[in-house]
Formats: sequence, C-alpha cells, structure tokens
Amino acid sequence: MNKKLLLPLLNILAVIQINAQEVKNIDSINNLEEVVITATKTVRSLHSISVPTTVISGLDIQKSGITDLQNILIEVTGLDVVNDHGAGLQIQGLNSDYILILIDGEPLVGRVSGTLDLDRIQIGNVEQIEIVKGPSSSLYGSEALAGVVNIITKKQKKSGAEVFTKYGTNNEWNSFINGTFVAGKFRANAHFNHYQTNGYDLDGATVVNPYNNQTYRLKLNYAFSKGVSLGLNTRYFEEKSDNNYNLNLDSYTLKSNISDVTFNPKLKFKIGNSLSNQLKFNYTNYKTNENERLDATNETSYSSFYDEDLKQAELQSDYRISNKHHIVFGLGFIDEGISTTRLSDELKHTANNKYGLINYEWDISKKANVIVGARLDKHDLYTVQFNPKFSTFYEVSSSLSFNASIGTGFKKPTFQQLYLNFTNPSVGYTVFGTTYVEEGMQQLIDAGEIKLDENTNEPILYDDYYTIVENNGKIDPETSTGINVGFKIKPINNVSITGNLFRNDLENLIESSAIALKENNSFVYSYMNLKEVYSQGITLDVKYRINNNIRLSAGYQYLDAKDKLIEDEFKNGLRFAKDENGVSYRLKLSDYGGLFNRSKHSGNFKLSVNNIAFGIANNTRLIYKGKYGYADLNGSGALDNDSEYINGYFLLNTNFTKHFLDKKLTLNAGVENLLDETNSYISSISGRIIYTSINYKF
Amino acid sequence: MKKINLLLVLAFLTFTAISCDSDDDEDLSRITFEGAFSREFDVEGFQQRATYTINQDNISYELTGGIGQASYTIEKEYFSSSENRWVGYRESNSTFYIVFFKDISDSEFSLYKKEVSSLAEGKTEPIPLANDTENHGWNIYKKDLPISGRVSNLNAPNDTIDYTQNPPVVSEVKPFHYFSFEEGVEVTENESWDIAFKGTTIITNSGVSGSGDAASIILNGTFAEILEAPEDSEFSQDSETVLAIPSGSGNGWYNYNGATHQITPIPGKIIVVKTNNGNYAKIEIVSYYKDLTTAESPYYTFNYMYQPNGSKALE
Repeated sequence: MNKKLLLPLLNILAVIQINAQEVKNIDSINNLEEVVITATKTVRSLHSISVPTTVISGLDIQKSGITDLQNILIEVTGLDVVNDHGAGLQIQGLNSDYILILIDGEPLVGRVSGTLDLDRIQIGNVEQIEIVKGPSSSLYGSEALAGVVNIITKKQKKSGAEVFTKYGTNNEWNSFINGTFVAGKFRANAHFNHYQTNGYDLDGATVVNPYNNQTYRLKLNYAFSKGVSLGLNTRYFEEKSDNNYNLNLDSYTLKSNISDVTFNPKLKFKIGNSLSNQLKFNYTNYKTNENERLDATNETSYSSFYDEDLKQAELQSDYRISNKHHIVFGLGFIDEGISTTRLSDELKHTANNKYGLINYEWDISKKANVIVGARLDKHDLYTVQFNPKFSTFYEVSSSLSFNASIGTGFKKPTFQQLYLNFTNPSVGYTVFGTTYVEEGMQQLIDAGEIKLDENTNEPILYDDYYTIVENNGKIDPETSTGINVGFKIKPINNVSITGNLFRNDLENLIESSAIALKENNSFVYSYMNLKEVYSQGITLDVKYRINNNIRLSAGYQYLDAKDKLIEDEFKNGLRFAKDENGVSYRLKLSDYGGLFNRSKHSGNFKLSVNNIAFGIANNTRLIYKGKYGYADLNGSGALDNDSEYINGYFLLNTNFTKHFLDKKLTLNAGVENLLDETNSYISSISGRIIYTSINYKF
Repeated sequence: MKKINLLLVLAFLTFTAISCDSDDDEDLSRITFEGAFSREFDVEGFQQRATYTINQDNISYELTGGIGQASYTIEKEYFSSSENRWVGYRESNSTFYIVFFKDISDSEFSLYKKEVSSLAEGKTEPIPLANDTENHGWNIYKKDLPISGRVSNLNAPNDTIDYTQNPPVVSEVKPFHYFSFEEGVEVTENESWDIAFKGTTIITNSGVSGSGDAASIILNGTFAEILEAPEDSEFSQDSETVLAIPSGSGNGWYNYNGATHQITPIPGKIIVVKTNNGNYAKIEIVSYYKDLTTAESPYYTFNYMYQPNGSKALE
C-alpha cells in the first residue's frame, strides 16, 4: 500500500482514538431516513439494504460544488472513471460496458465502443444518485453486471423556481433554470441546463476541444385520485463541438453533434390497498453526426452517423401481502434498433426482447430480511437468459450488521458484433459480425480474396469460422456471477465502518478472432465468446461525525482484476516480452499486473465543516488513485512492466458555501484539482480549476 | 519412542544405500565432451584444417584445405573415461584406431591418434608421453563455436503500393535484400543467400522464393533458451500458399498495431534457419525501425547465431 495513502488513514484512526471518549451521544442518523429504489425496484430503507449500495444526496452534491456526474462519482469509494471513447464509469474494476446508467429508472442508450459517456449527464436539480454494486440483471437485464447507477431527479412538491450559474477556468459555464408549477392534482416541472467550455490543452496538445451542450427536461404529473396518476418525463440533450486540424498541409473542420431524447409516460394505479401497479413506456434515441470538411473547398471529406433507439413497455406490479412479504412482478417488451455508417448506410438492424421478472422481499423481522429475485430475458438474437439473485441482511445488534448477496448478470452482444461488415482500406483486414460471416465469407471466396490450399485448391478457413457457422452466427451473451459480503460496525455512536468484499467472475466475453486468411496476408475476423476475467477486492468506508459541525470520512478500495487466460499463460511461461534491447524474455506469473486502467489501491478522504466562520461551510475531498497500467509497451499483450504504469496521483477539491436570505441565495466558490495534477496520458484531468457559482431559489 | 528412532535410522540407512547405489551407476563409457573440435596448421605454406566431431557412437574426422583432404567416420568400440582412451573401427579401410584425449575442457582438448591392429591392442597400448612426436604427436583441438552477430539497420523498402485504388495496386516493385549467415552480411541474389527481406516479408532461399535448399521455422522461446535446431522434418520451405516465415500481422514474426501503425516484432518468436549450405542459424528480429526508434522503416536490426560446423548446436 502506498505510504502517502496510509498516512491520512492512520491519522483518522488516531483522531478516532483520541476523540472516542470525549464525544457525546449524538444521534448519527439523519432526521429523514434515507431510502433507495434501485436495489429492489421498490422504495426501501437504505439501512436494511442487503446489496452494496451508495447514495449521494442532492445536498452532498451541492456542498461539493461539483456539477458534473463524472467528478461526483469519482469521489465514491471503489468507483473510477476511465477515458476511453468518453468518460466511462468503472465499478468493482469492471468497465462502463457492464454498467447500466439510468435516469429516473430509465436506461440511457448510445455507447461508443462500450463506453457510456458520463459527460452527457448534467446533475443540476438531482434528488439523489443511487449506486448499486454487483450484478443486478435479475431486475434490469442486460448490461447490469457490475452495477447500476440511477440518477433520480427532484420531485418538487411546491410551485417555485430556481436559477443557477457557475463559471470557472477554461471559460467553463454551467447554468440551469428550473421551474415547478403545482396546482391541485397537477404538477409540472421544467428544467433547462446549458454547459459550455473552451476545452483545454495538455503538454501543448489540445485534448478537449471547445464544446457546448443543452439539456431540456419536462416532467408532468396528474393525480386522478389517491391511487391513480399519470406522469410524463421527457428529456432532450444536444451537444455540439467543432474541431479544426491539419492533415497533409490541408486544414479540415470536423463538426460533431450528439443528441439524446427520452419520452417516458407512466401510469400508476392502485388496486385495493396492497397492489400497486405501474404501466410505463420508454422511448429513447441517441444520435451522432460527424461531418468533416476540407476548409479550402468546403467539400465534405468524410461523414458518419450513428442512430440507436430503444422502445420499452413494462408493467410492474408490487403486491404487499403483509408487512413482511412483498412481491414485485414485472413483464416487459423491448424493441431496439440501430442504423449507422459503420454497419451499413441504409439498413436498420432491429431486435426484440421480452422479459419477465419477479422479486420477493421477506422481512423476517426488523433485523433480518431475505430477498430473492430472478429475471428471464427472451431475445430473438441470442439464447434465453435466466438471471437469479439472492441477498440477505442481518442485524446482530444496533452496532453490527451483515449483508451478503449472490447474483448473475449478462450483457448482450452488440449490434456491431452481430452485423459489422468492415474492411480496413489501408491494411486490408476484414471484420464480419457473426451473423454476416457465412454470407460475407462466400463473397470474399467468390472474389478470390481468400487464400487457397495448394493441394486441394479449397479456401483455407480456420476452426473458428466453422464454429460460428455451425451456431448460425449466434454468439452467447457475456455472463457473470458476483458475490458481495458486507458488514457495518458502529464501534461508537458517531463512527460507522462499512466494508464489502466482492468477487466477480465474467465468462464468455466477446473478443475478435481470426476466421480466415486473405490473399493479402491479412486476416478475416469475427467475434467469439473467448475471454474470462475476474475482479475481486475489498472496499472500506469509515465515517466519523466529530460533532454537528465537523464530519470526516475515509474510503479505501483494494482491487485485483485479471484476465484468467492471460494469467494462465503467465503461470505456464507461455508469454514473452521484449526488453529495451529488443531481446525476448519469458514472463513469470509475478510479472502480471492484471487488466489495464485499474488501480490496485484507491481511496479518498473527506472533511466537511458546516461553519468555519461567518456561516461559511467548507467541503474538502482528497481523492487518491493508485498507479495503474495504461498500455502494453513491450509486446507481451499484457501489463507486466514498470514502464507500462502511470504513477498514482492525488486530486484535492475544496468548496466554500455560504447561504443568504434564509437559504434562498447560495454562493459557492472553490477549487478543483488544487494540487494542479496533470498528465498528458490522462486527458480527463485539466489541471487546477477555480470556479464560483450562484444559486437562487424563488 | 525407541521403535521410532530405530525406524528413522533404518530409513536413513536405506536412503544412504540407495544414494550410493545411484553413484555407482555412472557410465564409464560415456563421453562427456561432444561437438566439433578443430585445429588449423600449415603444410608447406598451405593452410589445413582438421576437425574431429565427437559423438557418443562415433568420431568423424575431416581434413580440409590446401594439400590434403579427407573425411571419414570411426565407429566407437570402446571408451574409458578414467583413461580417456577411445578405440574405434573404420569399416572402409578395416582399421582400428586408438584416440587418446587429455587436458579436456568445454572448449578444447589435446588429442593423439594412432592406428592399431586390434581392439585388444587398442585397450592395452600405453598412453603416449607428452613429448611423443610419432603420429603427428599430441595436438590441441578447439571447439567450433557458433558465430554470434548482429545486423543493424538493414534497409529493405517494400514495393510502392497505391492505396487510393481498390484493390490497391503495386506501382513500383522493389528488390529483396539478401542475407547470408556464412558471410554475415548482405549478399546479391546470385550468391548463396539464406533469407531475404522486403517490407515485412522475409523469404527463405527455397521453393517459390529461390533456387536454394534453405528452410526456416519459427520457434516459441527466447534466443538464449533455444540451444538446438529442431529436426529437419520440422522446417518448411516457401510455397505458393505460405512462406516458411509466414507473412501478415500476428502470423509470423511481427504484430501490426492499427491505432499507431507500428510494426513490432512478437516477443518469444525465434526464427531458426537451415542455411543454404546445410548449417543452422537462429535469429531474433529486434526492430523494424532505423536505430531502434519508431520513425523510419523498414530497417531491420536482428541478432543471430550461426553454427558453421553442420551440427544443430546453437549455444
């Protein structure tokens, strides 16, 4: 463990020791009990939750001064953000590909190489962000392997309005206006957010170009009676960026647009006292357009588009049999479609998915509960998926409780893995989606592009080709099993320690594989279920409330995430690397550093003071990210050398808040990345940002 | 307790006995110094080279150079490692030979060879004195060590290809650059070359690529670990469909990175070549770029070891 990290941790422990005797018996639970919805699809108290769940309240977000999702999540113990085709979240060492992001319970679509860019989501007017770690496919289906993040927007109960604007380094503006109208049974909320930045350079190279985005949100609700209401959530997001660059002495302009729309009506109706139902529909569409022009002639030199939509209808019934027994049934239908230049200009690929789920919560007593759930997904492109989950919570005493859960998760193959037909023009290799392999290969054979066997004059096709064809182009979804075991100890009333041990085993991960050799000596590739990965570790959080004025917390995660097949090759001495002289050497198991972009050690230390002086509050967070691998440099195809790591670093963020006019007016000022940490390999960290913001509630 | 002690003692004795037993197993007729050892000398101003290749079952003798040439094999009849006395029979002239060795090390020995009339005589003939000058006397033979070398920045540009057309068209054909392990330098196509380079392609002087009889194989391992060339049957020659050193990214000796457009030699790929003159060599490609940078290509830098004596030993 890094000594720099150990020191603050030891400090807290020392502080706890010293103050333990002095502290009076202060109720550590907030006045309002925290509830979450993501873990069970029903409202449940966070206290008795049996899966690792973190809640970031809207108040915490405001105190931190942060206005973007990426930076708020990076402060949560065990969460990381990796920049790869956008800011991708990482939970328990698993990539954005395996994380479902929801806004008010509805999924976002539009992933670029698996990454769902967190920068598409603004977090003004958020009630709370719920993060459930571990597989949740038993409730949410595909992509909920590593975890689910649910951003829950505020549900205003009174008419009113709020304006906010923030200005900071890099000419970054983030502003929103929010208005609520409540009249009897009708409730309406409108929200508009504008963000813009000039971008920034690192080491003289532009890593983020200027861009701006707008988010529009409208929420309507009409309560016909106490048990019946109709709601509508809509959201529209658009982002524009211009990028100028020179290629072969010509200058070009690339215009990129992203848009994202959600339309989500919802009917809630109660039958009797114990059966609540909700029938909801969700339409979401994600589009990108890129257009590159040669400046001299203003002619389009390159253009591409991506258009993905998802239509989902779901009926969910919550049957509260008694105080102790509660069952949720769900039935749903998903229709998804995609059209993009990369697959085929005109063709739209579609797929259907029917599913049913059941989740049974048994509150044996106030101190113990068991939750069992399962979901069945029948998709027309891959085999039926059955994903169960079991979890339990047991409170030994008011100062000690345990929870444990085991569940499975899956991720469906992407449209690209199924339908791609791509040939690299300069190098000449070809990639086929699995469903296109037979037809595509026949075309290549007919065109004489595949090598023929000298003796038989037959095209040389590899085993993987026959495997794919035998399966009629179907590949299995990627699957996982996750286990989490956690505890919560309150050694004294104002200190809580939570810990969670986790292990995820992922199988059938889809990788490209060569299926034939072309005449130009390049391969034809397709996709196969090949890779196996595991991630395991421990997360620890210590929270200490010194008094009503000062709170401290510290978090730490140890993570070990590896590719099983690569690990075996290291173990068996089958992997080689080149030394600095270009000479090969055999690698040992101890050389293997696991998956790239994962810190073995990460942590945070947070201090919150309600009143430093003159009613000014301060909120300071120190985030540590331990060293991590970023690229293979010695040809081994894996992380195994000191030169392949980026050194660990600290981010220090601090924010000062003062309320005026009976809390109607709030002023914030602060610094993000106070230590001015930058690294040309980490494009997401821009260096020190100084900002100020104002918020007024009418 | 006593019983246990007794058992332990018994076990120890048994173990010791077995250990001693295995010591006795040492084979006195086994030769511990194998390989080719040679000596160069002058005969009337002409350079001569005598080589003894010591194998377990026979010793072959080869004399090359100016005046006299000879080449024959003597089959082993007897060897005593205590006296370093070797007796063998050469069938072609029905003669027994006795060969004495002394001052044996890994890299050299002293040798005295003499004809005898029978195996019995070979076993009893006294060891010649150091100053004995009969039968050419005692002479020092040194082991034929393989030649280690490195070729830096061998420039072998690829054909010029016009990628704007589909399929791409070769607009200018460039020549291959030929290499001979025996010479240790670039040679012309008309000389006895072994392998040749152009772009990322490496051809072997055989089959469709050349009139020679060279062959190649790619082995997995490190340059230092591969101490012996494999069986001849494992080598391949260049054919219409596949080269002995296959071309294409991930097929043979290199990987192509689509993102950075870099060509990198695959670690753990050692090319073993049976040369055009029937010897063996191993090579490891170190870099495809000039001065080991990543800027200008194709400039081959590679390490090689060439065994000139025809044996498969590459150490």
